[in-house]
Amino acid sequence: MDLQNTTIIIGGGSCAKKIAFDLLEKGISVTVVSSEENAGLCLSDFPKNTPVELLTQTRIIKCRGAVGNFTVSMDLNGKLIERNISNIVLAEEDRREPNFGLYGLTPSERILSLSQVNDIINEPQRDDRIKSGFKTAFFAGLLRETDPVITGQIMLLSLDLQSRFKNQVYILTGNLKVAGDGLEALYRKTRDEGVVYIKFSNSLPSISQQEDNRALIEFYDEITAEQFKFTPDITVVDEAIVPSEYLSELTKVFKLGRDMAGFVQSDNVRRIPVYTNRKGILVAGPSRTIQTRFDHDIDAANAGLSVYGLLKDSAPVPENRAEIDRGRCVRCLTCYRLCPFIAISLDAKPFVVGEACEGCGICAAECPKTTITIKGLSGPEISDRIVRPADLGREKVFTPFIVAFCCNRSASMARDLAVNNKLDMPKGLVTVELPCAGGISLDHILHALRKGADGIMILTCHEGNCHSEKGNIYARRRADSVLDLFDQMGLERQRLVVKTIASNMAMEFSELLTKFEEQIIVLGVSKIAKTKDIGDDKTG
Amino acid sequence: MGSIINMQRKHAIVIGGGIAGLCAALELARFDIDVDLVEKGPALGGHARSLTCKATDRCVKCGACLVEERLQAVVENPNIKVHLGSEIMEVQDSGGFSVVISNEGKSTCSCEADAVIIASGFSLFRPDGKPYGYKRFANVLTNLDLERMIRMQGSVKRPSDQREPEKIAFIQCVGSRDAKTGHLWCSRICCGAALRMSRLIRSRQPQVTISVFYIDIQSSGRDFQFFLDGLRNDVRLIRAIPADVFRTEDDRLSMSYFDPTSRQSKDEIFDMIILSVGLCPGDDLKGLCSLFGMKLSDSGFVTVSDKTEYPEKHGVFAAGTVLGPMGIAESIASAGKAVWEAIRYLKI
Ligand SMILES: Cc1cc2nc3c(=O)[nH]c(=O)nc-3n(C[C@H](O)[C@H](O)[C@H](O)COP(=O)(O)OP(=O)(O)OC[C@H]3O[C@@H](n4cnc5c(N)ncnc54)[C@H](O)[C@@H]3O)c2cc1C
Ligand code: SF4
Ligand code: SF4
Ligand code: SF4
Ligand code: SF4
Repeated sequence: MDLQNTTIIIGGGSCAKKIAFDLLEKGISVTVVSSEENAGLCLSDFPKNTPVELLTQTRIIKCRGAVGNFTVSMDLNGKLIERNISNIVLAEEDRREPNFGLYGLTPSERILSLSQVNDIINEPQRDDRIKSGFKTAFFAGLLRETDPVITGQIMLLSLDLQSRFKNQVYILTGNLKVAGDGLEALYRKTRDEGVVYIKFSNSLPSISQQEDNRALIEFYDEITAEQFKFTPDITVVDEAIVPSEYLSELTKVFKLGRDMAGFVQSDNVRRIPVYTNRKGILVAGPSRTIQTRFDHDIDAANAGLSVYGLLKDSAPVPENRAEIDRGRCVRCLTCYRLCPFIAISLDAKPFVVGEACEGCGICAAECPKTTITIKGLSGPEISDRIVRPADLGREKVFTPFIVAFCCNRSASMARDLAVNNKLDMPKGLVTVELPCAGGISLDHILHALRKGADGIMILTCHEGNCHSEKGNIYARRRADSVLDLFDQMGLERQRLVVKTIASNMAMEFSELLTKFEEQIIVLGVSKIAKTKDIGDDKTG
Repeated sequence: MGSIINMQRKHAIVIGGGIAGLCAALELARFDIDVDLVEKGPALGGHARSLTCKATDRCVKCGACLVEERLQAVVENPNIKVHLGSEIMEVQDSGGFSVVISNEGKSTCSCEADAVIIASGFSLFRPDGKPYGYKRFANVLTNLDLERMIRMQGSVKRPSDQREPEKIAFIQCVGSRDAKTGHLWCSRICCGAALRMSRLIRSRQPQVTISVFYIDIQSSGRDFQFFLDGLRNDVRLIRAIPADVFRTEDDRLSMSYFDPTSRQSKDEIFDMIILSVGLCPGDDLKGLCSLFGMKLSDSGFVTVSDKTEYPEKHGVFAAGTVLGPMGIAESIASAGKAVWEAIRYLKI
């Protein structure tokens, strides 16, 4: 087994299995790790004579290294084991949480969860709680919004209950979630079969549990405008799809971003489809978000594609990666804490793993000792890029010299679009592109002032849209701290602004800068620019 | 075309340069597959390139800005050859595909391909036949018209007089979830798009009031409950399908609907009405697929119920909204899946 080419797939369900199969087909060795004893998998499921290892009852406890060379420590039923691998895919199964509490109900033989009903329908001979002729009510996102996965399941079950079990099914819902494959057609089919939908928009039913353990549902029907009292034989509460607790542990072990619900992958369009904040760590299917099985397969394919792509990629590490002058480092660990891509490792002192570094510049801008350098981002290099347009300031009317620091992933593209569309732009505008606005440092801003900038604009991605997660926030914070310096220098604060923009907004780019220019015209020539011989800024 | 065919390298054709096609081309190129990207229109980017950013204080994750980055990467990629204003004219299938591409009806070129990815996207529902006055009244727009307007001028103004509107209504599900048109699907993106758009307008033009007429609000985004709760104070949500729209003498719009609260028919005056028109199968999807000997599902998309099953046809894959209504994120993911299937098929 070529260990350097191994991928660890975490999870024991169908999504993990699909990824493992696909990678094996491509000759990549895989280790499938499931925390459960009885994962939905066994070794005999896999094609014979393929490089697969299956570890059950195994939990990941530690991960060191970076893409291409991770060392993962695991607890196999009390025994510590380690694997050296290239890539990691998280595909842990999600979990269902029945909403009994939400509706103030306690589970009983009359009050069931969606999964219980699913089990009963699949094996009616084992469990006969649902009898022919029953009135059955489903709650589908009644008090809290649900999703098409749950709604689809409810509609399928209701069809079965209505036709096979001769039940009269009622579905009580707020917003029926039909934004899934074939769900609108399924909705119509259930109605044709006699399923009754009761929708609530401005009112809500009051729900209580009777002594006979049935639910009592009292409501105002918006269609007939009548008050109803309703005690179904069976009441089925919907379920929330949530990440497993183990998955939250994993996000800590791997230092991965999460969304509000706790699924892996921060809620950031830059991570679409299966990327995380760490190169070589991917997330698929039930670990990523609420999805149907079909969507899990789509994720599995994307995970396969990404892993295969990373392994085939033989490009050398690009030049513009961070480097730490370890002699001058004081081990404050600022860089280690702030790197969004977990590209900084520690031994005696921090060092950068080039393969994982994205060259965002956040570490360099934040290091208190300025011991980190990135090619292209040093003060002098940035300064060289700030070239005052030759004919500025020689005219009778004041044309301000404006320096815009632009994030490459948003503002630079918006600028290109604006230029292509020939939109208005300040005459004295010079844009300086940065891989991430988070890399902008105090030094860069001072260089712009020294070059005679009358106004400086920092343009970042919108909050929540930053490839480095918080680069835009760091940029704003740094600008704020520079403003105090402006006060000391006697410079107007309005000369430095931070704005956010998306890559597709050419018009907005043009407007932001032309308005800024007007503002600077009102302020006049910068005090610092005035003190210099602006005709020849190379002497400055 | 003096193209040199390198036997070692595989060759693929991607049809359609929307977000799905762009992503498919980029992923293929990453594996050193030579790609011919055939786009019918004069520019790459598809529908997503007309959309506006709807961030207010924060990004609302609509995904529209992802197109620009992909587009630049495609243009710069040496493995991808872009054919603009081009369409597939002829296909011969003999293990591989020999394809004739026409360029603006003027010239043609032929190319050989080992695999084809169809990513020709969707067509928007044309609401002319609905009683909402589209094309008759200047201030009735589609959701896409509104996206374009805001992207180009930053705010909403009435096309008829360039004045800022006071009252705007969105009508959801126009041409979706609609037995009359035979469109028994939810278009998935229009609820999220309308709500985000409402939020954007309210934040930029707070004097505008917005009413959204809906059947069911579909979830969008990862924290939808939070988003919806925040929106309820800002936007009026009315569960009703409006009946019709008339223009008043003072050039406003009168809309009648059954008001669920008062339980009465009501005529209400708005300054602008936005029709959330749905996603339909592409106009020439049928013709395109028949060139490759593929059939479409009853709804007219490539497949609807099961996106994991690609057309039985070997070597042809599909990505994006040709498979059914979906958003940008899903289109990107489906492109990844199509490419992975293609790579497995080509044994690369
Ligand atoms: C008003 C509106 C708002 C939206 N808002 C959002 C949103 O907020 N979030 C979100 O995720 N999604 C949103 N969407 C959906 C989004 O636009 C689609 O998901 C996305 O554009 C689909 O991309 P695609 O590549 O599949 O198709 P398309 O964008 O349709 O691209 C298809 C491309 O193929 C070309 N083509 C067509 N036929 C041929 C042919 N025969 N030969 C060659 N080329 C051909 C077309 O010219 C086009 O360039 C919105 C859509 C609309 C209309
Ligand atoms: S440049 Fe960015 S990615 Fe690289 S080490 Fe520094 S903070 Fe991490
Ligand atoms: S931030 Fe600078 S000084 Fe602090 S640990 Fe990192 S390199 Fe060393
Ligand atoms: S995802 Fe949408 S809202 Fe967010 S920055 Fe991009 S275009 Fe704007
Ligand atoms: S997303 Fe909303 S507006 Fe669009 S078809 Fe579905 S329910 Fe109707």
